[in-house]
Amino acid sequence: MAKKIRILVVDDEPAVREAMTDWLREDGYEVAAAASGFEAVEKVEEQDWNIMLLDLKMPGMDGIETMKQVKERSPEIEIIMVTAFATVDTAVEAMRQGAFDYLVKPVEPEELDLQIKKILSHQNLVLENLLLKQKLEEEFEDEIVGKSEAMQHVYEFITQVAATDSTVLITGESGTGKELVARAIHANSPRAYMPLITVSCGALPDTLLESELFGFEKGAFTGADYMKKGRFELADGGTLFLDEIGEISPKTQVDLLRALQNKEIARLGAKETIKVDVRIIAATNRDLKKAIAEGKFRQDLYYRLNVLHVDIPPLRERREDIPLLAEHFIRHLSTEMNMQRKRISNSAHKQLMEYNWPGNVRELANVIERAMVIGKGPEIRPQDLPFSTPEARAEQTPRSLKDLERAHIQKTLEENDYNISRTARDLEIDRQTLYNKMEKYGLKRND
Amino acid sequence: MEQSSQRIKPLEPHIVLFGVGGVGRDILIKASRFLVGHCPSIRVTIESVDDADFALNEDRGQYDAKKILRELERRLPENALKGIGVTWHDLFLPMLSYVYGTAQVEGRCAVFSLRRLHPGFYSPKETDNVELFDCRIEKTLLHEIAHTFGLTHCHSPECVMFSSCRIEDTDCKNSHFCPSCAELFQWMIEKALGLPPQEAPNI
Repeated sequence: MAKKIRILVVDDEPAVREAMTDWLREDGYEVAAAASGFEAVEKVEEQDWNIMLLDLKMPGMDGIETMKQVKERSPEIEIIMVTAFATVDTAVEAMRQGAFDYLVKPVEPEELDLQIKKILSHQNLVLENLLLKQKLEEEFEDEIVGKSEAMQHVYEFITQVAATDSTVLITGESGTGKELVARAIHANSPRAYMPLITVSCGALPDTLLESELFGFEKGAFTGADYMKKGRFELADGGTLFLDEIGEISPKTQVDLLRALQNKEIARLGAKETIKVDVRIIAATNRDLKKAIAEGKFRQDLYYRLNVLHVDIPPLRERREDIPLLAEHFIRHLSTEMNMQRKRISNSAHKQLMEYNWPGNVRELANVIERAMVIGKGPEIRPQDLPFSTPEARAEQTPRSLKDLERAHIQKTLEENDYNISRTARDLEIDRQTLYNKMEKYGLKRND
Repeated sequence: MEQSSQRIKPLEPHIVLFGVGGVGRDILIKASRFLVGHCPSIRVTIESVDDADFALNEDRGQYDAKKILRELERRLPENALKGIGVTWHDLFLPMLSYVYGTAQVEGRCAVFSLRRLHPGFYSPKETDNVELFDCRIEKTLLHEIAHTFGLTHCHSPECVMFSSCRIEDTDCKNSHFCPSCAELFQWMIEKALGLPPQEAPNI
């Protein structure tokens, strides 16, 4: 389901934990509680948190010590220290150790709400910049490759639908090339010279997604110091690609449905609506019919999105395209890395054809890149592939900690469709750390 | 136990409005009419929780909203959809100085206080401003019951689901949802009532 802002309430009093958990959930936050500093540190090691409400006076590890340990493990988490026993010394120490604010119980609800919104405003800016930077550095091939019958159907579909203005729903497993198909549809449409705007719905917290899609007026909420157009407006006249549409919250589903029905949007905080002329292409790897049956996705929105539908086949269902794709990636990578093009040995070819490719084309691209980098000689051999014979696997098992880390991060990225937030969560590191490691190991999306 | 005009059938979904710690019948009837107006497909019944001293914090002179919620949940009939408490007592949550109300998001119960909604709390001159008081009751009632159906706070300051940390926030917002929250509320009610998903629109 949609990403939520995550808040951890740390207090030794059960009544406080329970009360604040319920109160914060009214704002749509995902909230959990810890009864001690030790438990708080454990929870920080297990998962990412945006904000911590931290009681100062607790038995065992007090708030100051807890904050130090939390900040060591998760520097980006913002901490609001709360105490009934306020002194100047503790206030100064708390701020010196990195607390965002220091509040005295009983706290005015308005004050606490304001501090939380200030933190989120800042964190949203950081996340936006990170995503923008990631997007700018992403490499993708503007080319769909494949001659199989399954892909011929996809090409026919693209040709047929590109000229229309109808909404398209693209389904398929992670790494099958849904975004490439969306780009191809746009590029072959009458809107080709207008913008193609992409929104990764699964990458953004729900509150940020709303403002990204629809924009906001100055003063609409804490942190809205300027007017910002949303992606609908930026895509006006062109195409809006909504990736991971299955991840959006019920509220965003309603807003999106109204935008599709009425062909107009309202920026957050605005009284007037704005007409938009946008062609929508949506994509998901989720089973939306199942989500509808579970009450998590609206059927009326599904019907609005599913006017034209194409399912991109997984790579294992079009194995005949594997050699073509492999050659394509070798050609591209040898140019990019200024390396000599490599051949694929017969036995490596056999391995590539037999492997199941759970990560699909994206996984194939990464396997080829890895083979190009670590393989010796003019050929890609079975031992250059991560899934070949047991002997080759044993030989290819990463020896150094660095290799192990790189392999594990890459695998997790592929499993999460290169979604930074989900990958960071699975790896139990913060997003910035993941981004740094991706840069360090040259791990890039190839879809 | 007060009932609406028709006897509630055992399996008929309904909302229970609890008067907590002595709330006048006229206010409860008014509140039930507000509820029926916004949830016409659901019946409303009225019950009383006469004594709320179990929730009193003598040091603060206020009543613990969470304790009241727990009591409402204990008293809520199994066949009731939701329960909402109305009280004159000033409510608080541990850590906070006060709350207008609180609810279990996607849960069964909510409670709100009339004390800080009453115009006389802010200005003696406004004590007799019944219209303003009624308006605040309707907004807070709808806001809290909507939380129990799963709605969370809305960005739009005019929507009844906008977060009210100050009385001015309550007065500025409408006594109805923005179009998005209205749609969402309807969807959540249909889900709660077990109604089938919406039919496909004619495209």
